[in-house]
Amino acid sequence: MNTKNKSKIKSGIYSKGEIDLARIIQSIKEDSSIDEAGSIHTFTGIVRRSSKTGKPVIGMKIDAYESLANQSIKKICEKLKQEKGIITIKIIHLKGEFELSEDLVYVVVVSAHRKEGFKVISKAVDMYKNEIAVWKREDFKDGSSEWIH
Amino acid sequence: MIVEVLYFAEFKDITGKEKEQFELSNNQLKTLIELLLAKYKVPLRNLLWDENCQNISNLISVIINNQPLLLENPLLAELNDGDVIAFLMPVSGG
Repeated sequence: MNTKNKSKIKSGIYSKGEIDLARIIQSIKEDSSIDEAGSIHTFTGIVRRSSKTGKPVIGMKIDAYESLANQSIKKICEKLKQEKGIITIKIIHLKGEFELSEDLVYVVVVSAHRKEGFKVISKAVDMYKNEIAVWKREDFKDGSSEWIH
Repeated sequence: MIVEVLYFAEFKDITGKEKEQFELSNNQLKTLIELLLAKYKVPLRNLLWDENCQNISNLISVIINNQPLLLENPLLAELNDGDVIAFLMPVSGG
């Protein structure tokens, strides 16, 4: 997705380097609905230095079926926005090649009160992990790599 | 008729491509899969096919024009000229 000349950031798949958390928060704060909010909750998924089985990781690749993933992200956001006290929700997933500790995904939930926001951001993370057409490949220190499912 | 196949993750690694067009002699998904297996052989067969090489692995979701194929036996699906098909492994968001 292209963010140039657009103040309002849309949820969806973006290329690495195209967007960051500060830009998303700035966009949310520029929206007229921000004065209803009491909290902004954020989740940032980053590249961990070991796999689930403890194998040393040196990098990660993210591939995405953009049109299908954007469709699913939109549905998740629309569904969760119906929950009480939720003002805005953004799910931004990056794609490309990533080094350790680099950002992979942002989930931002704006809520009237903090408890509603904490609850919904947890749901949003579970939903994007299970429902959007995105795949990650871990690249290991020993030169091998593996798509994770 | 001509259809387009999109490749993601392991499928992209095996084919070395993001997408590819195939000309089919009929409208059967099975015909497309036969062409794919003939072209990309064992690596694709291991990924796409079930243990008995009788049907598509139940790990794979077949997507046609951005919509999941919900047939019990996906090999019976009928395609239309210009359809865009993708075979997806289980997702794994970051």
